Amino acid sequence: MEINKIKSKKFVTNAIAIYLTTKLDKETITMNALIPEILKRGTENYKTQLDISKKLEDMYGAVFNFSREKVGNFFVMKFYISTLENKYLPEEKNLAQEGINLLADIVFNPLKEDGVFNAKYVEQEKENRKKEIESRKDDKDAYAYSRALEELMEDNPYGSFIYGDIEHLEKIDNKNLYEHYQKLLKECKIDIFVDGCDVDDIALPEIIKQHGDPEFKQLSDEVKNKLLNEVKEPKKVIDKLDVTQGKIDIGLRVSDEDKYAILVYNQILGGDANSKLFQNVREKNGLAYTVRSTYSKYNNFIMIRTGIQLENFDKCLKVIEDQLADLQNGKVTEKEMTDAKECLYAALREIDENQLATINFEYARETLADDDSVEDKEKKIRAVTIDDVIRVAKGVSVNLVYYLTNEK
Amino acid sequence: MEVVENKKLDIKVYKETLDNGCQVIIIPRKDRKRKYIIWATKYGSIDSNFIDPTTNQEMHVPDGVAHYLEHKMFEQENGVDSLYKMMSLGLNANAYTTTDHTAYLFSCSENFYEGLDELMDYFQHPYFTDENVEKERGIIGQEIQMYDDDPEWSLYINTLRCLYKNNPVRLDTAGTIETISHITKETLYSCYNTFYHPSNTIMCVSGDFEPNELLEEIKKRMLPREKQSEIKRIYPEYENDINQKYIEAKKDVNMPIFMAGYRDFSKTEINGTSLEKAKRDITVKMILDMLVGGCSDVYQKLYNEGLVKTEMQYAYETSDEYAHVVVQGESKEPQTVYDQIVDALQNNEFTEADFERTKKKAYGENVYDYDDVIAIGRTYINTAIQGIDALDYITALNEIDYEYAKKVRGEIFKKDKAVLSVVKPNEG
Repeated sequence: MEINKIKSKKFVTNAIAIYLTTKLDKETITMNALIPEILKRGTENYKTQLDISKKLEDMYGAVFNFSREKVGNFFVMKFYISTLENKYLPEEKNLAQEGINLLADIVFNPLKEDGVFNAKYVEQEKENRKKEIESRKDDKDAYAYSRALEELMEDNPYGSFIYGDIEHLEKIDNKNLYEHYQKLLKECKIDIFVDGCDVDDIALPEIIKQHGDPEFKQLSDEVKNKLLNEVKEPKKVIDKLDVTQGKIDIGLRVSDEDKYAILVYNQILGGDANSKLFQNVREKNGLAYTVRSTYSKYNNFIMIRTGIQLENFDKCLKVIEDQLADLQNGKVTEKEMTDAKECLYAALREIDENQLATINFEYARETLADDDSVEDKEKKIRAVTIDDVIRVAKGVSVNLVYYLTNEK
Repeated sequence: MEVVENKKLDIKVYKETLDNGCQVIIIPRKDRKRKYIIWATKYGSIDSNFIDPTTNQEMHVPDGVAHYLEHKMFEQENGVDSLYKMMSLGLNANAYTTTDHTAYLFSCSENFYEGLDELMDYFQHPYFTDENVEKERGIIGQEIQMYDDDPEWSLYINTLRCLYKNNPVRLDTAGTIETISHITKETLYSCYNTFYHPSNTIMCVSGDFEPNELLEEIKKRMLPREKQSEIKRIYPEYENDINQKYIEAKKDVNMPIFMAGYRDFSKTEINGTSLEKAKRDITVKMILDMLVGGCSDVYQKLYNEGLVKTEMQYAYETSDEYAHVVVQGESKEPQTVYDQIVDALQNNEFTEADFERTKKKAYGENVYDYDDVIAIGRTYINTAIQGIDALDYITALNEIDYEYAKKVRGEIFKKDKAVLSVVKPNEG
């Protein structure tokens, strides 16, 4: 195992990341989502969260953070710490090494009680997750999207809610969670990244070397989900909640295989304020406050998301269908192509302005079989033609119309 | 150009006051693609009474003019909306109004000079008509109502109402439906002509620039203006006491939110150099970190008792006209939490070790800003408005000590001068 080092000189911090990549499935997602919450509570060296916080303050206000994500068929736990670069410290010190040591301690050396996780921490964090799952409906936009995803993906685990479900949560205790984590550490892919100017002074902490599955790399291609089923008629789902604004989420099956052409297609469809959806749904017809489309390249779908006035449902749906039809009928201008591509280039060019974006980009190349460099990506986007976009459009079909509306 | 340098951090700050009085601050960051510019006038919601420097007449304008002006500045004579135009250039453009300044800004990776053209053009070319001023009244009215509904805003403004009886800092930034009904094209022009004079403005730019080249580009776009003497602002007499101890409101929240407030009555005596201000500013923040922050005893206690779920937020807000501390949080028992917080702020000890650890954290936080041109621009404009050179924060950290922190804590955090604002959930 090695540290993936990205030497950059324009920042004042070293960004350090440890990613654990594992298979996504409905049986383990609830446990996997809970694990980082337990890890943040204490390590064998820093027994409480307060001890960790004080250590971070002492490290010139180093910042610790974590997140979890579904990516195609994978579930990824991401742990970060950022520390001031050594040359900016008022004393001689290798803070970068301290940073990676602390991060490794949090991830691989959790506080143990009788050989397993601390029971109190597990119960408290289970309670917090439970509240999180129960309050899923509070953020209406996110709720509509996660519900639409569930319906669109059907039995596929990618449709699972990121925190899992209460049924699985209730079966968790400090013992089985600890055992699951130990198993996960043996089977997962471990990626370690450092972006900053002190990368050459950092050594891999011993404790990391005992973990991870060195063969996992061969599984990279399996990140990609299978194509959604072809349907004769789109599935229609209506949920009712106490909302003042309705939501329409439309799931599109994308059969084309050229992801760069799909990217351009999606950008023209609903990528930004220049897009067909924004211009027609919002600007011309004033039917929605927000409308956008996002392309999930590991799952071969595009989701259109809107927030609408309740009475506009039929009209809004019609305008969206018209935009899809226009693209299929070849109504794409050179200007739309240029605007869309410029927007995509701009996003690519900004990656190295942000250390975490850079790390995520390198991670995708390393573990998610997304090998192209920034330059290659730009080249391939540049090569996309109007005909490619129309071909993509012809392979797009509506699989799901999800509608979140008022109870009345 | 004047250059201020911090060798350790490898930062050079270039400053120049142009012939027309505009103060330009350039903070170059090599190899960064993103660029950020912010142009601010020292004119905010507290500046409704002043002496017009050209006529020497005392002026009293309705509350909310600064914010109204901010809305109207984007409108151009040729019908173009500059904000929209800047967005179509791929720029991230915006504007805002505070108590003591109004600022116009954008960030971008490309098209910086096209953006500079537009920014400097609309800033220097107001276009107000009876019709376009009238049109805006409804839009701003809606914004005022939105603020009225906003629980956090009510919480904050109510805290200031407890702390001050007459100081205009207690007013809503956008004014009220009533005050804005009196704003006309003439009011806007009169305030524009006074406060948007370059000598009352500061411009900060950060990104990969050669400072002299950039300065020339800025100068090229500056329109000539007659010199203007300093604007005299009229504020109510200094208030020696708080206004009221407690205030409560009901809004659409799930759990009560609360804000504790303190005036800094000692601040008026030490309105001194940039470094003195920076020292006090950073020390107050450190005291809050130590006594009510995530590592404090009182936070740990409240968290373990289930009385708070997340860390409290706090700020020290100052200008020449006011200085106060606010501490915000969420709890099902706001009064209990407040009692413990004010008790901790007055009585809890912090050790020398706590102080040194917190100082390291403060150092880190100040240096982190330099990773991002947007953070740099924001920090430099905010501090420049207060008359602080941002690099002085680093110097200040070397100069403050444990004894100084204890002294400042004793000056500000007195239980009997603390106020509490609470927003509770609507019933039913």
